[in-house]
Amino acid sequence: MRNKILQILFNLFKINEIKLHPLNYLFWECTQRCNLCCLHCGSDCVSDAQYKDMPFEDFLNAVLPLKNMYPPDSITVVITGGEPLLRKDLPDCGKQLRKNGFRWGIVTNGYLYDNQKHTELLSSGMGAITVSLDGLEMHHNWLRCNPKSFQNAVDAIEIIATSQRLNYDIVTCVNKLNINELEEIKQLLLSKKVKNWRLFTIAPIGRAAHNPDLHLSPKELHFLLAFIAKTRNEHKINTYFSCESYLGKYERKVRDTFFFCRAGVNIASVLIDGSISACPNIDRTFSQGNIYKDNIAEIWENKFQIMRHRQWAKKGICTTCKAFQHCKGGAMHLWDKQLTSNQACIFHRMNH
Amino acid sequence: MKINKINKWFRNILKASSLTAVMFVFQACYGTAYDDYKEDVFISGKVISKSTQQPIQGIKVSPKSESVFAITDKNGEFGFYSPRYRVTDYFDTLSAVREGYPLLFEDIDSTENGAYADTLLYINVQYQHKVEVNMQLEDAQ
Repeated sequence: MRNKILQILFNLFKINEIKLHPLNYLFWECTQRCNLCCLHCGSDCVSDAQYKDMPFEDFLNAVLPLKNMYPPDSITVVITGGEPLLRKDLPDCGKQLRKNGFRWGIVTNGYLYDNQKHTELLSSGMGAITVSLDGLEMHHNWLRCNPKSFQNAVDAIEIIATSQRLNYDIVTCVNKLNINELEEIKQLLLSKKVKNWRLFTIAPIGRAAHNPDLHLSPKELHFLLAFIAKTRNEHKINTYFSCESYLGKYERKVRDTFFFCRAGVNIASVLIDGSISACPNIDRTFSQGNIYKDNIAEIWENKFQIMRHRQWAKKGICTTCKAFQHCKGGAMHLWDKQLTSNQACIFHRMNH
Repeated sequence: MKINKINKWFRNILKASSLTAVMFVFQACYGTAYDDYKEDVFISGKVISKSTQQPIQGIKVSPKSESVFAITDKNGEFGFYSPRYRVTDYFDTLSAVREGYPLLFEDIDSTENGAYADTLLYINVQYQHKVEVNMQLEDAQ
């Protein structure tokens, strides 16, 4: 009963948030180059990328108008890729963002993260970082297609966990091979004094679309969510599930709040070709403009309607779903470009 | 417009309440957490030679015990972000006490850009987001 009342209140909050749509989370896909070739990559990144890295000045000039709409320190710029550490000018980019008032962080595979990089990035005002650890050594290296990737990621985590300054978390893509070693991964993270651990499943997008073996069965999904709920109750490490789906009875047991896809509501992105979108893993045909011809502030204010108003999403598996009023079609990145149906709703998979 | 004001008012109330503030904390599926740290400061400035009044390149400027620093460029300029803090250091006897943020200037490139004496300065960074420090270094003995 209490949860039902809270869900109704949260739905009111969502309506209000959609109406105001304050932008406070901005991805920058600064490169498509990557030093790994992961089996589950959502971006389909490669070492020899199709696009050149975006010049930092192009990005900065594009986002400066946002300062007229929002206090810049309320916006965290999340620098992603590809692998952002491949950009030699990353510390300079970050420092310029901070000087202009924005906060910033990076998403990295940790392969190149060492003490020197750590110092350079902290000195440049980096405040947040996410590092991937997708299993124990054998399965992490298998997924990342590199025999050194596990050790390098663990070394990076060790450095990052010592920082009092950084708001960081470790993310694990749970799949059929690593689901049985979650307890051991947890013990490893605890031994490194990690405070935050985020788990998610692998979406059938990018390269992962061609690897059905990476996707969990309904039984495995229940196991994963029960594991997260149990770990949260232990209060040893702040563990939570990502925002990829509505979860029915597991809502608020595996994360602090109810499901809310904030793509286009609080989240925007500037992609490698200048496209303005929401999360970078959303199908690129949903881009709302381009920084090379549009003003991002105007695009944010006047477009993004497809992501903010989701009545259109009552189709495909959502047509008769009783949870639609709460999830509005689920995470935007799980919709294909034809908008036929949510491709990987966890709530649907657990119940069918 | 009026509705928008009500919406903003409703939002501010929710954000200020300890019961509902958690609703504003989120993280994109493939993104980092927010950076909402308020306790850091940008320390910048210029280092010149006391004897020649010329800028010095290659001086490492850092808080004594933190893992952040900057190296002066060809204009003698530096800048880095650091958490704000304050230490009390005792030298030799309790009568020699220095307090503040310890900013160390070190000549790390040997004699390549001249030779200068390492200098430790205590500055006040409390409640500040930006601090500018212009420093004149003595020649090494």
